[in-house]
Amino acid sequence: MTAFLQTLVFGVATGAVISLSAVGLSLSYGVTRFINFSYGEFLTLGAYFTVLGVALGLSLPLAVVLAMVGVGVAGVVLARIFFDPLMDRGFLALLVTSVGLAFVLQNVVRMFAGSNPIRFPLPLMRPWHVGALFVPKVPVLVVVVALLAMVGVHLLLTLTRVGKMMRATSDNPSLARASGISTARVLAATWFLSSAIGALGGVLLAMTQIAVQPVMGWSFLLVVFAAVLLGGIGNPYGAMLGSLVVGLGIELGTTYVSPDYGHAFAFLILVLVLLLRPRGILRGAF
Amino acid sequence: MALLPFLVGLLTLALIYGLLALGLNLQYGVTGLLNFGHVAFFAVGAFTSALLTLPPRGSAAYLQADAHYQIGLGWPVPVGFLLAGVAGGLVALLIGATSVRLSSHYLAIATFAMAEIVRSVLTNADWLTRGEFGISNVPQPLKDTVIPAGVYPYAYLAATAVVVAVLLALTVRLTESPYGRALRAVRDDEVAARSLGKQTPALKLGAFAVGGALAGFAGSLWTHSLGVVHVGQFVPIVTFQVWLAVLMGGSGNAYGALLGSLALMAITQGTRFLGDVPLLSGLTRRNPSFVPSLRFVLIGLLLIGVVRFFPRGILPERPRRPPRNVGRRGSENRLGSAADAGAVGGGVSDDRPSDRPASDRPPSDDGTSDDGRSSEADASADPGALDSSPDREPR
Amino acid sequence: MRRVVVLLAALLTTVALAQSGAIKVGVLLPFTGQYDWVGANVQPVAQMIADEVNHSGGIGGRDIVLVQGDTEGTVDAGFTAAQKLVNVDEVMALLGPTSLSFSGSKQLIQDVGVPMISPTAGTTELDKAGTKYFFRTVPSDSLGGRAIARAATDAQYLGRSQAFTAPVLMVAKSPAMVSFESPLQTSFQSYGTPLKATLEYAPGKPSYRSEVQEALSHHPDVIVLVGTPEDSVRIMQAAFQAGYQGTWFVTQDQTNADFIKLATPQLANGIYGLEEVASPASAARNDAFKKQFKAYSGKDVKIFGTNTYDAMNVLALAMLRSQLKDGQVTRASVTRNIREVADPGAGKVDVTDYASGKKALEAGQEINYQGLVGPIDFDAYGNITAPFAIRQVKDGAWTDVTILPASALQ
Repeated sequence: MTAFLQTLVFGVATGAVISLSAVGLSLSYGVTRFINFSYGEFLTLGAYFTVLGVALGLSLPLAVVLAMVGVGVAGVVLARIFFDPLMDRGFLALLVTSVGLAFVLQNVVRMFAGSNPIRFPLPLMRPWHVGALFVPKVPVLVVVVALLAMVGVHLLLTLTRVGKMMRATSDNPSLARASGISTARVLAATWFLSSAIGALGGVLLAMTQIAVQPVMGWSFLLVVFAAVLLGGIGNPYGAMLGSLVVGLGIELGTTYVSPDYGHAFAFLILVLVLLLRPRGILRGAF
Repeated sequence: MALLPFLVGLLTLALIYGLLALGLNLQYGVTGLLNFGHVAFFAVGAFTSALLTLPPRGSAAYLQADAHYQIGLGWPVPVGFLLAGVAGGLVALLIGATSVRLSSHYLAIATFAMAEIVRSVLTNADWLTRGEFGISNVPQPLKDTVIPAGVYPYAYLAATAVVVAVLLALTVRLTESPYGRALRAVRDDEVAARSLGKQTPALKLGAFAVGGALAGFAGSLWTHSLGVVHVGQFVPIVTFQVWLAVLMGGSGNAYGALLGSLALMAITQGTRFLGDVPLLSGLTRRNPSFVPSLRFVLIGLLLIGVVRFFPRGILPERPRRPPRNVGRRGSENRLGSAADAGAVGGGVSDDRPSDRPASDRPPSDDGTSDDGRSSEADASADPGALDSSPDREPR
Repeated sequence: MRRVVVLLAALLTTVALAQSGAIKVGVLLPFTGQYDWVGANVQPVAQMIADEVNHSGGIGGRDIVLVQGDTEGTVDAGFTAAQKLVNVDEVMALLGPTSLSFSGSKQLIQDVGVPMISPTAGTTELDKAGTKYFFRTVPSDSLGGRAIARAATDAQYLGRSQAFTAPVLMVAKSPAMVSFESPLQTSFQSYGTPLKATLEYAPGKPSYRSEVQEALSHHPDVIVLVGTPEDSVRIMQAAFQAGYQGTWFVTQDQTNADFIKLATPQLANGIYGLEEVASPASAARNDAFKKQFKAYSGKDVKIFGTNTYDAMNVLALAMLRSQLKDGQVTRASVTRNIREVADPGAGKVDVTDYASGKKALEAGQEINYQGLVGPIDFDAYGNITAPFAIRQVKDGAWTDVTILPASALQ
C-alpha cells in the first residue's frame, strides 16, 4: 500500500514538472493556433540562462527571474521575426517554421554552451519522512512553485485587462477583434507570458533532472504536448489537469506495467482519452 | 574524389524518402489527413521485410555471422518487399481508424503519439526486433552472387529508381482517377462530399492505407539498401523530414513529393560541407560541436526560408479542371468548386475551406484560422462561408 | 550573385590545394543530438595526437587532418556522414563510430575497405563483427560486465571485509548500454551470487523515482548501474532521496572527475567503478596523459579520452610504418599495419606513445604499442582485452582499490 501511495506521490511530482510548461504551451496554442515545436527550446533557454546567471554570481531565485524575463523577451522577438509574418498562412507553415526555429535555438545553445551536461546549481537534499512515506524535497519545491505560478496565471487571466483580452481572443478571435482588442498586443503579451512560463518550466525540469543538456527541451516537449492535448488545446486549466493525468500515468505505468516504456505511457493515455473525448478532457478552445 | 558513389548513395536514400513523401502526400496533400505518424509505417515495413528475408536461425549464414535474432524466414526479397507494403498498409489502417473520430491538430498529435507507441513496442519486443541491438545481416539481394560489391550501389540505385517510378506512376494514376477526385473532395470539403454520397470514412481509411503501404515499401527498400534494421532509425525526426519534403516540394503534387525529398537531401547533406570552410577549423579546436551545431542552425534557417519564400513549394498542385460532365457553372456544384479550390491549393499555405456547413459551425469564427487560407481560394471555394476565414472545428 | 559563386569556387579550390598533401582521418561520431558529447570528447584528444604527429614532421612530410562526420545519433545520418568521409573526403581511416551509427555505415566500410578504430563502441554485437577493417580500443561490454560481477562477489577486489550479497542491476535501454545486461547476469550467476533483479529503464527521462522504488523493493546492498552519466546521477539521487543506504557499482563511463562533479561528492561518496587500465604501472602514464591534455586544451580528460589516445596513436603509428616500410599510405596498407604496430611479437619494442614509436620505427625496429587502456593487442575480430581497475570514490575523487587482471575473468 505504501508503495502505491508513494507512486501516486511520484505521479503528482512528475505532473508538476510538466504542468507549468503545459500551461505556457496551452496559452500560446490557444491564441496562435498552431503546434509550436520550438516551445521546448524556451525550456532549454530558461534552464541555461539560469545556470549562466548563477555562474555569474547571482542568487538562484534572481537568476531564475532574470532568465524568465530574458526568455519572455526573446519569445516576443523571435515570434515577431519568424511567426508573425506567417500568421495568415496556415498552421503547417507555422509548424514547419517552428521546427526550423527549434533546430536553430537548440544548436545555438550547443554552439556556445557545448555538449557536455552541466549540473544545475541546486544542492543535494535528503527527504522528509511522513509516516512510512518519504517525501523528497525537490519535487515538493517543484509542486509549490508550479502551483504558485499557476495561481499567478489564473489571476492574470481573470483579473487583469491583458489576461481578459487573451481569453477573449482565444475563445473568439474575430469577435475579439471586432470589439477593439488589438491582436498585435494580445499576441505579444501571449508570447511573452508563454515563453516566460516555459522558461520557468525549464528551470523546474532542470531541478528535477539535475543536469542541463542542449536536447533537454526538445526531448521533453512530446510529453508536454500530450498533456496539453489531453486537457484540451488552448485551455490552461485543462493543461494542468492533463499534466497530472500524464504524470500519474507515467509513474503508475512504470511501476505496475513495465519500466521499459518511460514516456510512452503518456502517449498511450493520450490516444485512449482522445478516442473517447476527441477534444480532450476539458474540451479545448478549438 | 569518388563523388559519384557519394551521390549514388545519397540519391538512393533520397528516393526512399521520396517514396515516404509520396505516401504522405497521398494522405495529406490529396486527402487532407494530418498524419504525423508516418514513421510507424516505415518501421513496420522495414522490419517485415527484414524478418521475412533474414536467413533462418541455425542456418549456415546465421551461424557464420554470429547472429542472435530469433526470427528469420529466409524468403526471397521481392516477397519481403510486397509483404512490407501490406504490413505498412495494415498498420496505417489501424492508426488511421482514429481519423474517423479525430481531425486537425488532435489527429496530428494522436498519430504522432501512436507512432511513438509503435516504436516503444518494437523496441521492447526484443525477441522480434532485437531491440536496441538491432539486426545486421539483412540480405542484400544478388550482392556478391550476381552483382559484385563494388558495383552494387549503382545496381541498387537503379532498382530503387525503377520501383519508385512504378509506384509513382501508379499513385498518379490513382490520384487522377475518380477515386483521387473523391479523396480531394474529402480534403476540400468533407461535408459536401458526404452529402453527395461519398463514404468519407472509408475514403480516409483508404488514403491512410495506401499511403502506409507506400511507406512500407520504402521501409523494405531502406533495410535492404543498408543491410541492417534497427529501431533507432524510426524516431519522430524522420516524420518531420518527410513532412518537410512534402511541403517543400508542393503538397498535392506527387512529383513535388519526390522533388521535395531531393531538395531536403540537398539541404541536409550540402550543409555537411560547412566543415570544409577553413576559417571554421580554429573554432572546432575549442568546441568540437561548434561546426556541426552551426550546420543545423543553417539547416533550420534554410527550412524557415523555404517555407517563407516558397509558400507553394517547388511544384504546386496542378490546376484541375472539373470533369466535363459536371455542371457548367462550377460555383453551383460544390464538388466542382471544391475541385477549383483545390486547383490553387497545395504548398505550405494550406487553403482548405471550411469542412462544415454554416449551420454546423460554432457562432464564432476564427480570425486566425488554424488551417490558414490563401486569398485566392476562399472566395470561389465556399460561397456559404460567412467570411473568408473559415473555421476548422474538430468534431 | 556571380561574385559569390566565384569567391566560393576560389575558396574551395584553395582549400583543396592546401590539403592536397594531407592525410585525412575521419571522425565518424555524433556531434549533435542526444549523444553530442561523444564526438566532443573524442575529437580534442585525437587532435592533440594529430598535432604531435604534424609537429614532428608528419607522415612522410604529410600532415594528418581530421574531418568531422556528424552521425547525429541516427542510423541514416551515420550512413550519409560515412559516405561523405569515405567517398568525398577520401579519408584514409575512420575514428569511430558508436554502436548505433555502425549499423548505418557497416556495409559501406566493408565494401570499400576503410580501416576503422572505435574508441567508444563496447557493444557485444561487435564481438564477432567479422570484418577485417574494424578495430576497437574499448573492451567489449562482455568483459566489463564480467569484471563488475567478479569484483562485486569477491571481497579482495573491493577492499572490504565482505563481498556484496544482494546485487540489483539497473541498465538503460539504449544501444550503448544494453549489452552489459547479459554478461552481468550470467557472470553474477556463475560467480555464485545471482542478481536479485534486473531493471531495464528508458533512458533520458527527467526522473526515475518509480524505477528506483522498484529496485529498492528488492533490498539491494549494491546496485550495478549502467547508463549515461546524467541518467546515473538521476537514479542515484532518486535513491538517495528514497533513503537508500547501499552503494553503487558504475561502469567506465562514470569513473571520471566530471561524474563526481555532476553527482556532487556527497552523492558519489563510496561508490565503486570500473576503469580500463593497462597495468598497475600504467597509473603514471595515465597521469602524464591527463597533464598533457590539460596543458593542451585547458580541460580535463573526459569519457573515452584514454580510448581515443590509444586509437589515434595506433592509427598514427600504423600510417608511419606504412610510409616507412611500404613506401606509401593506402587504406589497405594502413589496415595491415595496424596489427603490425599493435600486436605483440618476438623482438618487438614496447612503446607507449607516438614519439617513442616513431623513434623505434625510424631506427628500423618493430614496435608493440602498449596503451593506456590495455596492451592493445587485437584479436581476430579487432577486439582488445584489458585488465580492469576497481576504483572507489573517496574524499571527492576516484582512487584505486585493486587491479583485476584478465586472468581473473576466466
